Amino acid sequence: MANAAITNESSLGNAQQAISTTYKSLIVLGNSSATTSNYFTTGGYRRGKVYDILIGTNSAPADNYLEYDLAPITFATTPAGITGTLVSANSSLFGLDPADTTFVAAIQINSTGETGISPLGSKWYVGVNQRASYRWVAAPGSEIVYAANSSATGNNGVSLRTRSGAYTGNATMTVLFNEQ
Amino acid sequence: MRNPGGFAQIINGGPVHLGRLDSRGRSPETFSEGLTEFDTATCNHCNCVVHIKPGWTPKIHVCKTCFKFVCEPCTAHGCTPFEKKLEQQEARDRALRSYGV
Repeated sequence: MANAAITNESSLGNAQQAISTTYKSLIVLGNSSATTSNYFTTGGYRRGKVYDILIGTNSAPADNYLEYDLAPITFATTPAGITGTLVSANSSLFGLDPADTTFVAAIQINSTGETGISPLGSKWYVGVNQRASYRWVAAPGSEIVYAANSSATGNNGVSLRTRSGAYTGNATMTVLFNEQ
Repeated sequence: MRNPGGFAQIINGGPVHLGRLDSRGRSPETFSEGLTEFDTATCNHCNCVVHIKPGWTPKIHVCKTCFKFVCEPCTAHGCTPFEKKLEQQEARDRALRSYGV
């Protein structure tokens, strides 16, 4: 069971995007046949469990309202509509324990487009002031889970998104998850 | 309350403001300056996270079949644990791939 922490830091490859009135994906993770680890061949899907979410903003302080949510999505072989480079190739950087194997999940951060994302509801939602930061930690057994299957069956990933009616700066997010 | 399924905290560095803890149209909550903490529960049927505000009387539901926490919208449906849904979904995917679909 490999634990990993993913952040939408710009230095990982994709620059943080301006927040707008429509949802924008900060972090997308899920199963994709486009991604394999050292120990699994293509199609070696694994379940993922999100157990910790931290959110905040990093622009000049002001009073704006931001909404964050976690939406289940169907993650295709090539992340359809999620524009931006996968950062899964850096998976060795994200593991919490260097002794663990690298993960199978495809990870994408700071999407520049949302055209292919068809959210299948919302599993977690919070709306807070721009000046506030938020953290959610799951007890063991209460994690948010995505299934170990391909995009053909669907619902095989999650997208952590944000939007705001007035705020146009950047939002930060860190997600901890494990694969089983 | 039963054992919580996690906790959430909001660190508010600004003035008192209104926020929301779910997208289902519940009234906005007031977050004062400083730290506000909540227990959370994860629905055993749909896997969504529900915030439970201190001093608030939420409609906590326990499924009479699986005896786990379920969120309010899921009480309108029968008992299908999320784990079972995942297993069905993964089994369908394995079958499709075995057929070469």
